Amino acid sequence: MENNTALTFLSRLSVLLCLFVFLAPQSAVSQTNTWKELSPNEVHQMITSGTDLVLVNTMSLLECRDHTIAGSACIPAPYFAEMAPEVLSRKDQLIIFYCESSSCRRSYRAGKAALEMGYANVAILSGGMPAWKHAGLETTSTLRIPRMGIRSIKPKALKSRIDSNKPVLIVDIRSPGDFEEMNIPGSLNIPMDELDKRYQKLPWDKPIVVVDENGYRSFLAACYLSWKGHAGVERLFGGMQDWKKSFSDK
Amino acid sequence: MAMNTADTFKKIVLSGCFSCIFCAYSFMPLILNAHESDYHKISAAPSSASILQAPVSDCLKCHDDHLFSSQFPESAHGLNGCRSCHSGITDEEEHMRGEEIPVLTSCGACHEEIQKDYLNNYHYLHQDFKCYDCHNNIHSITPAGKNRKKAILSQCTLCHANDEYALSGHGKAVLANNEDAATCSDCHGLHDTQVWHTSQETYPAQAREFYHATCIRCHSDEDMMARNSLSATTVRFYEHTYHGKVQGIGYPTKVAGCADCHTSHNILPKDDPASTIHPANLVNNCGRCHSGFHARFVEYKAHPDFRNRKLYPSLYWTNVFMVGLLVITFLFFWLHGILWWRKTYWEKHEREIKGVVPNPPIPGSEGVQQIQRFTAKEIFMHVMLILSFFTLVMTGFPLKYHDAPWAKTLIGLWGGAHSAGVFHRLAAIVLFLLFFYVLWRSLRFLFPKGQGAKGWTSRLFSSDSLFPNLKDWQDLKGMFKWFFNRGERPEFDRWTYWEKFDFLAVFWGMAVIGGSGIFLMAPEWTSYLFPGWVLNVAALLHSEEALLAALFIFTVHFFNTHLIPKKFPMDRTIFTGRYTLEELREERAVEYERLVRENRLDHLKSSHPGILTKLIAAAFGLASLLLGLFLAAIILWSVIFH
Repeated sequence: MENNTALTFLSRLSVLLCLFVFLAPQSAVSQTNTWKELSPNEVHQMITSGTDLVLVNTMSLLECRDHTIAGSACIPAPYFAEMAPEVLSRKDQLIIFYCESSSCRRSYRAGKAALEMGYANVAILSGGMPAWKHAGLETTSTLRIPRMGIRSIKPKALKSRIDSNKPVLIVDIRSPGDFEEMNIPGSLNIPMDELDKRYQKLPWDKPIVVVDENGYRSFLAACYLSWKGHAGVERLFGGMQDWKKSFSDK
Repeated sequence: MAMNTADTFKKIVLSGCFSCIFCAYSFMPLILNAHESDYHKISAAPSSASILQAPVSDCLKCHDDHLFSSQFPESAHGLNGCRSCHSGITDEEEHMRGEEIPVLTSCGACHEEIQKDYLNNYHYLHQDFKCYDCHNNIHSITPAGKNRKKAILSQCTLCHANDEYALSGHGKAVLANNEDAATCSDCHGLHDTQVWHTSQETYPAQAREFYHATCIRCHSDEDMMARNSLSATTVRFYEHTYHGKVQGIGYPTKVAGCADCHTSHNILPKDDPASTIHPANLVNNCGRCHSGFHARFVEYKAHPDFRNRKLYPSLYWTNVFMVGLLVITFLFFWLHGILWWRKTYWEKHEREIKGVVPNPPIPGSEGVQQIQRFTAKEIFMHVMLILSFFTLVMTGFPLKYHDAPWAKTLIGLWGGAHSAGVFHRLAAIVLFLLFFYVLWRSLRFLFPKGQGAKGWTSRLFSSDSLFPNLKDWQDLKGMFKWFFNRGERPEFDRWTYWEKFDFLAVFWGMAVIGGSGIFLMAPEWTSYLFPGWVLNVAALLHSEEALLAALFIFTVHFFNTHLIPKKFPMDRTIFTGRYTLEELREERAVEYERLVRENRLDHLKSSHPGILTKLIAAAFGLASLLLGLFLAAIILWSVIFH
């Protein structure tokens, strides 16, 4: 009897193993339909050698106008499906997506959307624009937001400011989806992509604190608001990522 | 200018990040431009007349702003002329009609070093800062001179306000124009500002090493510390502590670096109640890494000057005692070894002159008969002792001499400092087990079953005992007489006095090195028994006793047992357990006679060891010898040169 159970187990195991052998090539096939990662130097070499490609900056228009890799198309990630057919007419052309930081997921989101829409040749600039700059390569700007002295405020200090009912307007520049998932009570959601259209409606008499995902984007947004005349604009140090870490245990 | 395409592209590319366009936001305060500073080495000053095609006065006809007419000529770039930066104007008429706009020129064309640094700058990489975002007064920029540090501070604090820094020793000194004190850029870099994720206590090793090196750079500068009435030896004495040693070997994540105790910005003297190192705050401060300790744990000294008798008497006297012990032990045994070697070598020389060949035992005679000296269990114990001892030395000494060139290589063999630490503790446990077993056997020897304590003193001083007796004293004197040709070589019993010393020294060594090792293994628990400064004493004892033990074994024990001309290169007895009757008769004549007299010799007669046993014994023994000598050499090198 014991021998029998062992045999049954072994035969089942071998069937499973065979299944794996057959499944493996299929999963490998599905993996070919994905993007490749290109280093800044590879992309730069392609540009100089005249490869048929288009670079896509997936940040907001505000950021893309501020600074971008020369010749890039500006397609903010959330609007990719909407804008792509117009801007990227050829589906066989190499499309290289990038965004502002190495931890930014926008280029991956846009890349995934592109593959789903049937673009065949999709790549991601690995490390994004920081890696591009670190390699000593150029960026250009069409409408630069002047950099200002923007103070940052740490999560705990912001919390105590809110708790003591001091006047403060928290402007959350993340996407509506992220905002809905979790936000600081009383904050106002103006995605970075809409900041240039909606900043005028912000009250002029309240000190503003800009909040983003992880502290990389709020500086430029705060500079923009300062530039447009808002006084005393601050930013949340570390963005919602630090806010969550600071208050998740409590 | 002849340039290939690649060069041209590179030039354009480089100018991109450094393009000093005419900046409209130049209402921020004047800041630095210190040509005397390292950061401002100008690699390629504009030299040729081609750049300065037109005199400034031509431009001033239209651009007659006060900034250009009076401030610019006085500024650091005043001699450059307009076109050194605003180049590309070929036709003045076209330019005046607005058709020809000057090309932006790279600051990096002259400031090459800064440009290189800037490619690592966080502000550039993530926030796209350009030169003019900080140097926004480019047309009126003048060398900051003596106010350089303050100027940097005022520029950084536009965004990065830090009240703690402003109140700290560094901040106060910078504001008081002290050019030695650390301003923002001294720790964070100026043009190569990098960001380490220190927030939320996620503190990567790289960041800790970076900041540690930053503190040390100034605080070990003797002249700088002297003119600021600070101690320059703090760093050196920190490096003598456990924290400093582990930090030094490259495992900074688990030990306190400077900023862990002193913090990064809130650096205050210890008599300030707001300081993290104020006595009232120490429990909290140490508690950030350590847990489960008694309050007196904080009496540990982070960087004590063990040579200061008034401030640290216990450390001072411990050090004096250990140094004394080392010096006396080695003076005696090295001298003993040298005299011994001289005597035997000279004797051999005499025999060679006279043509006297020592009589080999006659083949088949009793002389080649093997005699059992060590049992299999004893051989096993010695092998385990060798393995654990080497492990302890090879994992511990890289820490002791963490700045020696060999330290990092040796620790790397163990897979880094962390796993070396694990091996060190495992080997310590093996050694402890051996020690306790030997202790138990010694007690059983003194108090055998059935006899109890009766007659234990006679057993203690008996011929089979490893405890010194009167004969050892006479043997020692006899050996020295023999060294100086004043007498015959003494005849020994079962254990010679140097063998007894080897054995008994382990009891002392285990008490000192093992005891201190246990305290250091569980420092928090130790605080329930002793105040924190005992850990300083324990660390010093552990370290110095380790030096004594390692050098003693690798020089004195190796010489006495293996390297004396008669045994060179090694004595296999400890690994085969056997030697010849001839050797017994010659080296331990008293024992031989005793064995014959007591009819015990026949019981000890044994077969010749097999070829495999001999080969393994030789390979293991020689490898251990060579390794030990190598370790002794690098340790001695570090003792002398570090």
